[in-house]
Amino acid sequence: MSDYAVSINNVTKSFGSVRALDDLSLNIDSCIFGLIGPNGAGKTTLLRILLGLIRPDNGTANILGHSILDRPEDYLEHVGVLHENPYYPPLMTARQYLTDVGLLYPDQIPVDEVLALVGLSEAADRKIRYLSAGMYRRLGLAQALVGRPRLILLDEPTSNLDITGRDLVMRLIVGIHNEEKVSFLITSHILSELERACHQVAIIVRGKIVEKGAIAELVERHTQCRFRAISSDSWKLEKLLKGEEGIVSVLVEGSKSLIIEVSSDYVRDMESRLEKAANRGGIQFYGIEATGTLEDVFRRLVSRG
Amino acid sequence: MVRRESRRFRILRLEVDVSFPFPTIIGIFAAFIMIASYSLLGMPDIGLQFALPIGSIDPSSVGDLAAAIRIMMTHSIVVSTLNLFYVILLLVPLLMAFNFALGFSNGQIRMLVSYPIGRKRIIITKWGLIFILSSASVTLGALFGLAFFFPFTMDIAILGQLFIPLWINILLVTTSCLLMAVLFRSAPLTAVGGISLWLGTFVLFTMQSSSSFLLNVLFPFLSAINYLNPDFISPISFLGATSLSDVLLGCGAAFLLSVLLLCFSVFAFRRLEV
Repeated sequence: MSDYAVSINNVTKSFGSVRALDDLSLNIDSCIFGLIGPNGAGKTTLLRILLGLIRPDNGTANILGHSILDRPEDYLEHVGVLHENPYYPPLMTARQYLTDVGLLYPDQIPVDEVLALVGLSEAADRKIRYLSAGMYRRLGLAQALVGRPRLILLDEPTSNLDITGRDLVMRLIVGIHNEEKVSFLITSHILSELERACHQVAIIVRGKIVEKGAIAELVERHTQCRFRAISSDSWKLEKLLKGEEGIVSVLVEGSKSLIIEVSSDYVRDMESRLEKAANRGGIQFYGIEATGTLEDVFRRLVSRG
Repeated sequence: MVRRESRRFRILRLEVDVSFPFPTIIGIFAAFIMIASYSLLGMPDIGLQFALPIGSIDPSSVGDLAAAIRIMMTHSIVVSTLNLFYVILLLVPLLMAFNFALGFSNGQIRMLVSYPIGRKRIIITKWGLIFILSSASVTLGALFGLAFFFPFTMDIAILGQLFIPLWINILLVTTSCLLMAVLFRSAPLTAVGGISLWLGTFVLFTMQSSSSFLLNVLFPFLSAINYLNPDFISPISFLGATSLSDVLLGCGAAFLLSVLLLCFSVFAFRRLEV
């Protein structure tokens, strides 16, 4: 039996002439795992295949040691799901719905406990149609959790949420992983959130995995030549740097910070060159720091295709 | 294993709570009872009296009185059931559209198949509840008419000859609409398709001479009425003379056709990509 929570082997799926997944293979450890990719890359298709909602054209996958080609209801007893656009019956209360859903699983977390865990205790007896967007998402997490799953698949869990709601959901995911030892497979467009919560990520582009690993490793591997420059006027500094030899790209991050990528031969004297350019333009230069985020890695890999 | 089996039936509770909350079920039953009452009031319009023919009965003969009441009971239950049957031809496609086909577009089916429930169980539960609700509504509505004649009881054989073809007919209507829901995966198409198919077929058959075998298969309930009351009610006179073997053949063929449609629906649903 495989030690991986999810193991995907050479899965291919096409919709008409569009190849959504192209001979994709991926092993996912028991952790919080992020799956990122541009729109149409195949993230949701992959989740739907793992859930048995659609069948792959070729290849196979295992979830918690069960083949997806067998009866999905067997492994779904240990898997919780939050779809991107979920449907919950509007006329039921959160408590009623969670009670009914919990009964479908062999083992349940008590409904009151789940409601408290996701912060929905106060709205437990409110009809679902009257829940706010944030509460609706938390109800989604609660129904994914109520069957005491070993793995939870989340498709865009923070879509349609404001920044406070997103923070709350991501904190919940980390908390649940730490307390209940539940593994997560999350797809999201908001990379800064995944960077905060995930132990590992995979980047999927045009149906293929182009990179996979711990976030720190990926950032280290792909953003060695990126710096954040702090000056009194980042817009002016950006203009001064345009056309400079060795500068690969310049991106204004804020009024005083600039993200600069340079070719590897110019890394050593980067700081002095920036200082000279700033002096030439009559602006204050405060210094540079090595930088790199998951977003930088993502941009780099996606643009490379 | 026992625990697992009992757990699988808990989808019934979820499905009832999601699709048929208590007020909805009560509302449907109440509507059918009202329609049945209204049908009884309308009996004089089709030449049937909802009153005893006092003048033509010998008051000293209990047997004549009982026979007259029995005829009136048969007429009233047939009239109310027949009217409720027309409502069923409208209601079943709508129930199938909004409680099943709509689930493909609003995400309910995707949610359900993501829970540890087999697809076969999902579709059978959804179809079964619609079938039971439809059959129970018509039966309750029709039996309500008999309450007027308490303490007289109706011959159980007549009730059987009436209700068994009715339930088989509802079975056929629900399974055909189920197949449409699975194939179309669209609430409007299922509703329009189901209503058009059944009302259209009915109207078509009443407007021109058609194969009586096909009529008996598609509408075994109407042929059962015709058999029970050959000189009764103009709307179904197009069926002509009906024998017991016509009714039995029609019921058997309709039942087999329903099972076939149900099996095909389950087969198609299990292979659907949702």
